[in-house]
Amino acid sequence: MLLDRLKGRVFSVTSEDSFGEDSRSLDHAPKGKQVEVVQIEENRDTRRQLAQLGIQPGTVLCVRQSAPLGGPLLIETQGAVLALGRALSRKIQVRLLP
Amino acid sequence: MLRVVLIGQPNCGKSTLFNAVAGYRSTTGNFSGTTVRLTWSRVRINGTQLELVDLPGVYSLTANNPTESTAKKFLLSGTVDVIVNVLDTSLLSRSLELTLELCELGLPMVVCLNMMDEAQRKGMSIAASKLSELLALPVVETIAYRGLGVPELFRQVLQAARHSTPPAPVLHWHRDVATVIQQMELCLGNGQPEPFPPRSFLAIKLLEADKEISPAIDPQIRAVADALRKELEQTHGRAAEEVIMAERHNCAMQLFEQVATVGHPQRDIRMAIDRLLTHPVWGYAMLVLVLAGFFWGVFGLGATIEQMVQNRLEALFTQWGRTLVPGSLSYALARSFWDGVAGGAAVLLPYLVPFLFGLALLEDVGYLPRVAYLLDGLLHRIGLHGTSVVPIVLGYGCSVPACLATRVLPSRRDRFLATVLATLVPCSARSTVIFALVAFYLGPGWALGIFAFNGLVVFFSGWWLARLWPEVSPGMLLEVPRYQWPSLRVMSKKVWLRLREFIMVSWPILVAGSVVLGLAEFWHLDRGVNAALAPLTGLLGLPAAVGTTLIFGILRKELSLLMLMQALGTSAVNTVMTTTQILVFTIFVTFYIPCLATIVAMSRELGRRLTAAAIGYSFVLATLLATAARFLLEYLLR
Repeated sequence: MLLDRLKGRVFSVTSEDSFGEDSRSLDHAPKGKQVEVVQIEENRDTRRQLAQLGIQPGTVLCVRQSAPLGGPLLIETQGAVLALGRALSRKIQVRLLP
Repeated sequence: MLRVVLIGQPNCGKSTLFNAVAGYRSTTGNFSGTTVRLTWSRVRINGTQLELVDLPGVYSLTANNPTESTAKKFLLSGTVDVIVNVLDTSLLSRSLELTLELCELGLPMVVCLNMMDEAQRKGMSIAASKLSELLALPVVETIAYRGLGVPELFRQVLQAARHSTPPAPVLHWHRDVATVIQQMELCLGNGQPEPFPPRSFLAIKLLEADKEISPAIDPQIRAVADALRKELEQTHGRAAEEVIMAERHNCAMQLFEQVATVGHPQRDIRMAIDRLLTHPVWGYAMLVLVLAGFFWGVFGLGATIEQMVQNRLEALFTQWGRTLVPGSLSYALARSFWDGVAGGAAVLLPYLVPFLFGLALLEDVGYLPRVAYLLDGLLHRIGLHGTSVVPIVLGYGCSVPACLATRVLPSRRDRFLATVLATLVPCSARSTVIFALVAFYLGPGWALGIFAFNGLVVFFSGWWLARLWPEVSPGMLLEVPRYQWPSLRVMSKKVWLRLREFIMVSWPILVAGSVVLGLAEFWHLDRGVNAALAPLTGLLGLPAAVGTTLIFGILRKELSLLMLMQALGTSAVNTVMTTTQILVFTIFVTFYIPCLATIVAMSRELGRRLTAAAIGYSFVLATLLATAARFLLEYLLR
């Protein structure tokens, strides 16, 4: 069990290092790096609300901070800072920008 | 009369602008959704009378919650003469998306680039004249909190009203989108006189499948819209609404790139402060520190002033009431009248003023959204929406605005939970009771204990109620504004706005209530009420005389304390009540039935059934907790 977890961690680190075009969910995006939104797997209402706040496919954003205990992320986009629930951030696929 | 509306995205300074011309009438605060209802004022500008309306903030003209719906309905009511579109210039590209949408309405419009100072600090410089040219609209730069640019803005508003040249839609859609919109417009009866809202606006809204506009349209036209929407969705491979939003987004970006140059931002200490206050560890430590500082500040100031004022007022009455005979009707009248007046001045005001100042400070600095951010993880775990923190924290001020603030929450269930919890939190009146009764007589440690206990109960109530009404709460999505240096002037006005309510409404009721109780006691009418409530007071182990107090407490929460002092015949409560009795009384008063004003606000927001449920819940909860506290404390403090 623990070994699996450790393996998972090692794996995710290596995949981050060799980051190319692969996408990952926003909650796995490295802090302070610019990422581009690729896809949002959410219902219509939530996608609209995200778009109204400036998050839609193609948007560039940056994770500033994440709260402990599965709390939200602080995201910066187009000069605005947003608090984004953790569950929501899992539905947003992003691509690391070089 | 000319009707001018202020509209813009949340927290762009509409209310600050409104207050700059109308005096402090619209509550301002540094978080999204401070204004949840319309605020009106008649103002005279350069000799012209106009009616200015401050609308709640909206991100776009598709509403996600009741607040945004209010703003949209008003805007589309056909009674608006000029639109003032307020923008937070530091968020220009996003804000322009709303501007583009507003242009579709074809109403005379002035664009107000507010918060120019913030944009400069970010290293942005904006060519306002260029923007004005591109949008074909007057554009005025302002810094509303300092009043800069405001006269020019209203000069432009009057000019726009006089030469009502409606703006032409700026957005050039992609060809296939444009074709679909045109087809939709034709279907809405081209050639006939232009309705309001204009056909092009309706066509776009129908294609977006707007939930508020579509149902009002003829079913045949709606069927055409459905077909066209499908066509659009097939060619683009995503929802029509998103296609349209993406077009607006791209157009706004292009406009932004043409008018803005972004240089280096100034070094900003606020970034460092924010890193500390939202830090995964230090953020929570600071939260505890802020709350503790708030508590000690209010108590320290309040207790000092209470002692000073109370002694003076007591001396004054002894001197003034010398001519009256104790036991006579005139003495009872004078005594109870004086108790009401003195209670307001000596017991309540000393705590209320620092409390309101502290809360105003937290609101204006912009700390509330950070608290929501820090607590969302915890709240989400118990099944609540993180944004609920804002109404709950506002509940510490007064339950009524807290009930209204729940309108920013998207689902009815989240609004119900937030309302119930916000009313369980001790409002400033109940906090005053805790400070003046528990902290003053038993020591601040006990009062802190009551606040902590209340927090725990609120938390577990949330947990339990969320399970009772299970629903997956959508994740938190909240804008976190920049910190703002609080202005003492604005804060004082805000405190005064709330204090005026206490002085004009609560205090007279306190005096009247005091006199009514005084007379009731004089003629021994209170005995019936006390006897009727004897089972409750008996269960809680409180003196029977407390019964009437609890009834008065429903009227105004502050009354429960003053009435207690009067019912017991002394302001030195600790001489007639034991520590346990004081604590049990306070716990009961903290939780039981919300005050009348709150009940009215609740039933307006939630409907009668849910309000009745909430009242029932609070009463049962108060009785259970107070009874448990009684037996536990009697055992512990033996």
